[in-house]
Amino acid sequence: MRSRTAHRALVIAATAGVTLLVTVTPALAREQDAGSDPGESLSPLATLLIFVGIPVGTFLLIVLLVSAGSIARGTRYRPDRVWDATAVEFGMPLQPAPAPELTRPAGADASEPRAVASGGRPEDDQSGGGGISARW
Amino acid sequence: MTSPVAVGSVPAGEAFSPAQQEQINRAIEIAEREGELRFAVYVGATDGDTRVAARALHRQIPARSRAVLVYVDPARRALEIVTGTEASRVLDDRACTLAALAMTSTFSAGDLSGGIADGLRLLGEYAHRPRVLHRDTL
Repeated sequence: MRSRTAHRALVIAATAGVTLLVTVTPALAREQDAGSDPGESLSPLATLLIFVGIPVGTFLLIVLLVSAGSIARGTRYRPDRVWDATAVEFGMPLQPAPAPELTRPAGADASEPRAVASGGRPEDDQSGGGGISARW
Repeated sequence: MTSPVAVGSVPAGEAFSPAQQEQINRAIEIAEREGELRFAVYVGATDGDTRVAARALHRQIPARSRAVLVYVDPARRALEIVTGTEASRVLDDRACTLAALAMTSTFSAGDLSGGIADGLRLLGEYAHRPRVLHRDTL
């Protein structure tokens, strides 16, 4: 596997090097051909702009286009991240009511790894109804 | 202390994008269509027992006996489904457990709004299924 990768890299390097050497010869010519008009040479700034600025700009544009979707979607929940977003509720015409008494200890069954039907709890029977608890 | 009571007037925060909020609202609308149950969703942190907090929140819903509350605490990775007295006749705990399994598996994959929407869709479908008039006892 490693030799194959090395072989591949060697082939690419050799191809690029040979191609460069073959094509660069006109630039190394001592005299200009008759009728050639080389024009003005590029300033260092223009060279940087064309050969560095444009590729970097294109790279940044592509990165922006790729990540634009997730930026627009906003906060995304991830199970391994801390959740500190504001509480949200939907479809709930709430009326102010006295604060609930949280009598049970926190995380009493926090280690429960699966969905557990808990309709039989004593405090559930007081108001009737049902429901379940689940963790993920 | 992040009491669920205190957040009654807090607008939808940064937890969901407008598209995700629309997704959840549409799921509630579809689940409530045709049925007589009312669905509510709460997503937020809880200090204390999530079951107790969820039941306390459910008690505040007007006409709560026909209300179903889906209570999600992403910080504690806890999901509670609370059904009112009449709602529990249509939507028994077995149906809620199945919906909860679907939701928690989607939550584990990092899709909070999608899991909520899926769960609401399932709960709505269970609530809409035709009543069984004759049941085999064997």
